[in-house]
Amino acid sequence: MVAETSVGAGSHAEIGQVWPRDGHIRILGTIVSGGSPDGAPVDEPWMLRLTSRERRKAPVPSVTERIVNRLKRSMTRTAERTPSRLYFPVATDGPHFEAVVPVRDLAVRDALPREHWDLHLVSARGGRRLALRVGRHHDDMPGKKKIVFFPEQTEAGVAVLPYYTDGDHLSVRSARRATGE
Amino acid sequence: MKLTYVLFNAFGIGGTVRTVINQANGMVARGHDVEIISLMRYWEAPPFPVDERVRITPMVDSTSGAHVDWDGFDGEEDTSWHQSFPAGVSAEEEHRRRLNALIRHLPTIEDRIVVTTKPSIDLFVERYTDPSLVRIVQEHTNFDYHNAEWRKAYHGVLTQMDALVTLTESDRVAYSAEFPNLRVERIPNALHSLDVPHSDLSRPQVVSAGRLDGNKGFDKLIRAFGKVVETHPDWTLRIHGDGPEEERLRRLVRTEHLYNHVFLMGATTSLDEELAKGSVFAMSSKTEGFGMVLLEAMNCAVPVVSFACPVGPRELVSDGVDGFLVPEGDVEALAAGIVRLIEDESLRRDFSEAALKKASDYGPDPIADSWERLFRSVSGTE
Repeated sequence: MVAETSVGAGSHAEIGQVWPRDGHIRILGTIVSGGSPDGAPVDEPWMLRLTSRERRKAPVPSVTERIVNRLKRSMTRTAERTPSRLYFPVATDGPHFEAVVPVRDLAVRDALPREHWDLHLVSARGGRRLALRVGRHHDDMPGKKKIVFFPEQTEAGVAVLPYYTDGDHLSVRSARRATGE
Repeated sequence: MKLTYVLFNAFGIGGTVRTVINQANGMVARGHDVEIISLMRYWEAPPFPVDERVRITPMVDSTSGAHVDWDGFDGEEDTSWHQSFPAGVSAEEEHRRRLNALIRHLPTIEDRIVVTTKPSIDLFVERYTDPSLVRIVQEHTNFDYHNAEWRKAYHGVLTQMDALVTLTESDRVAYSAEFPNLRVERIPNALHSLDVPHSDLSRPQVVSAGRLDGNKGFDKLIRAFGKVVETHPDWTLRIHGDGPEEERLRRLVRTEHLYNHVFLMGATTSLDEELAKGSVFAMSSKTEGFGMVLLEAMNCAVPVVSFACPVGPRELVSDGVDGFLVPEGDVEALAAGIVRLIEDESLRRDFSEAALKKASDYGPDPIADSWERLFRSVSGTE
């Protein structure tokens, strides 16, 4: 794995607003380095990365397993296994960013019963990888996990809910719902 | 002077406990001997700072996990009083235990002024304290609050008391008319201190605070704020407090898509600091006994917008001077009042200055003076 770095102390993607509605999760905010807005150029466009905590823990398949899996998939016509990292485009305007995650992109065929995705803005600068955790820290309101509750959206039997973690970072929980629920 | 305040729960968070603890601290600081009787105790320390010279005597102490009566009583339950009190009082075992402990304690009080703070407690104080003691009723709810059964029982005991103290002028007038032979005075709640943080009115933040129950009308405030953000999307609303309506209000925030603008913050023990973060304070109560939190907001230099409840806010807020009073229940008018203050910074500053002036009338000293005058006069030590 390529080493990742932040752009200095106090670097993160500061959330302004989160809009979970109409089949999307729209996130607006500001890129922050060393406590101030950072609109400096980057080597490649920012992307929003969702990393599954549960999938990441799955062992990397061996070469043999991969060949067997591919063979199985070609025979059963099942879709490609969802990777543990999903990427979404990010629009920026100076330090400001906007990213949209379609709920259907998390309502995957191989959705786990319960899965948690951590959000980062990723890019590179001067050849070094950047990964900024998405969260909200500059609103003088710590402990948002018990204050802010977003609506859940359900697509293809998978309920998708953005939430604040204990450290005021933003994550998304997806959970398979039994049919008829 | 020796004072005993009888309080339902000195360890809970609420308007009555806060004001009684303020009074107790104020009186002990002036050299009086002060005791608080609390029917229950679940925590080591009360949520509001209590002067160490104030003694708190819980009737039933449950801090250890077990219930322990103040006198260690472990005998058979006395049920002889049940018939002569409103039925609700003795309905639950937990309540009966506390009241039995209180019934055993009240006759032991000697040579003290007893101040009682809740109608259900007033009934017991009247019946079980030595009638030669000076007994004063502090009324925290307004005249029309009590239902028929309660009113009958409660009004019966009031004639036996030495004085009734109301929080508002309109209640003073109402009780005086009903009880021409009872001494009725208005002493408003005191602010715990005038030395609190002041808002610099710079943050795009509206604040409110109160128990999340139906009476506080926070659903109306949330709907009003939905209208505010249509034209002022950079402003947010923080509501401090918890209560039975919390889940319903959270659902409203979600369904109205206000989760980026309205925050239910939970209970706080640093209310002044939180109020001072606001540039406008909004109150949406159906009724208020007094409206203490309005005064606390003004004390933090925050201009207010409030429904003009039957009593309370209309005596505290000078409409167009230190805040706006809008017709009770009128969501549009509440939103319009908030928007006017948002859009006019110089009006906010004028109101803020006037609010501070108003708050100083309710500082600990002038209110403690009123209480001392009443105690001296009623006990004949003037």
